[in-house]
Amino acid sequence: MGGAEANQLKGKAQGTSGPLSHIAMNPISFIGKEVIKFSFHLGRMVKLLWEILKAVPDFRTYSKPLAKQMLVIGNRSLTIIFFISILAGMTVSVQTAYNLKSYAPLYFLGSTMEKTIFLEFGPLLAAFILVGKVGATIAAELGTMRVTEQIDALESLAFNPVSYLILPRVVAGMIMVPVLTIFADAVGITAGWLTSIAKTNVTTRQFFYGFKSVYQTFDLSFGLIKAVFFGLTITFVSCYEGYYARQGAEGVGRAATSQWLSPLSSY
Amino acid sequence: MWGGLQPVSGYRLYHHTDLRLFLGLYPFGVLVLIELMGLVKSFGELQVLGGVDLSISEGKTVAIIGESGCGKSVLLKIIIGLLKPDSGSVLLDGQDITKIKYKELVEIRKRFGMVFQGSALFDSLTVDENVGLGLRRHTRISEEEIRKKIGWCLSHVGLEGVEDKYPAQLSGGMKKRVAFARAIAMDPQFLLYDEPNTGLDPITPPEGYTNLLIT
Ligand SMILES: Nc1ncnc2c1ncn2[C@@H]1O[C@H](COP(=O)(O)OP(=O)(O)OP(=O)(O)O)[C@@H](O)[C@H]1O
Ligand SMILES: [Mg+2]
Repeated sequence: MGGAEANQLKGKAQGTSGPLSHIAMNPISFIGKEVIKFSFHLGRMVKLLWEILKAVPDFRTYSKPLAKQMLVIGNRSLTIIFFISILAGMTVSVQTAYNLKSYAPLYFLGSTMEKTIFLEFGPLLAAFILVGKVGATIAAELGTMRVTEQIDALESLAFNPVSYLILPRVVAGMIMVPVLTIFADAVGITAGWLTSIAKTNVTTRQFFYGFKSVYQTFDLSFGLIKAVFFGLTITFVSCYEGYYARQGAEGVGRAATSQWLSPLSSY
Repeated sequence: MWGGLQPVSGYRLYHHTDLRLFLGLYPFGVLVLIELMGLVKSFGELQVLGGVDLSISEGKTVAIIGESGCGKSVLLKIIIGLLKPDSGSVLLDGQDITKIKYKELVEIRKRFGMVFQGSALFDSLTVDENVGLGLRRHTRISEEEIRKKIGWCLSHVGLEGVEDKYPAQLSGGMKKRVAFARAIAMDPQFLLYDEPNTGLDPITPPEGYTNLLIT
């Protein structure tokens, strides 16, 4: 860290400023450092994942916080998912109608709606909201607990912090993202259906004919499987960042806005 | 500075014999419960502990005094297994707790109560939940009994009617006292108390503990 900063400063002093200058100066050492950093994080993540698995039988420790975390996730995201799903449903409907015009029968509206919402929009919206509303909170929460020694205190009370803090958050994510996905699916399709019959000549019967003609259980279940993995990765990475936060309030901020969370949120 | 704190270190020999386990007692009738041997701990370049030896006998209160930043808090964390020493051992009942499995360490921690320097109360839980956390998880006593116990612990530190408050609503001294109540809630055999003076009013620990007070 210090070395990289010093390098950058030196680069500035010599007029070769810019964050990439030290890479150009010594690419091999840069790549080496990045590889070491990456393997360090990867190793620690695998270890944490393993500890979460080992904590599964410790039901007595995590049952209560699990219920609490599920409520927290639901409370935080339900309203916003409701509105965004309406928007998504309406947009898909209007855009599809525009594109289909005079090329294909309008009942295709229902078909498009089924595929886009079940396969993509539902899980994606739920995951998006989870990153924005819950991910950063988890990282900040656990980071604060780490730097104010609350995690140490938990251990001194003979608790396994992985069972009490991390497992409930990760499992709550894995349960709640699919639940929110179903909610987003339902709201999105209802909004799409209402928009379709209001804005185009399609009838309810035609809309659902198109819907059913392409419907496969796979669409819904694949969307839900996706949702489970979104829930797992988002909460896990957030927990990881917070749990290993260091160096006071600054470390908490860094955990909450970490580089790991931003690429996820742009997915 | 640690030199004066080894009342029975002359009997170190016995730790390596099974005799101690049979008798449980040292000559002269001193039962040593915790023995620190040659603890060394560094953070990077900075050596914080340079070979600490210390014996803590039953029913004794040991106070460790030192200037700020000399490693008192670190020593306590090593005793309860939150930090691993670079070398040396912490013997409890002849068992080196720096080398045991995590599961056993958790069991051993149930015998300890620790008051952290910064209180370290769980800020998402009320005072009641903070003090009762261990009781609700580790014992099967009824909710009514637990409430009674929490009330007892809190009244012991001169706090009443704060059960439903959150830590953020308490003063620094009150937090420290709640942390003390939390530490004694499980009737620990050992009480580790980091900076007992910051609780403002002097608190007398209940009888019968082996205390390790850190100032
Ligand atoms: N996690 C850590 N990482 C790096 N250095 C640490 C860490 N914990 C403590 N230190 C360092 O170890 C030294 C001893 O810290 P410690 O907290 O034990 O001091 P202390 O004796 O309790 O002081 P005080 O009376 O001010 O509480 C300090 O110099 C501190 O900077
Ligand atoms: Mg200290």
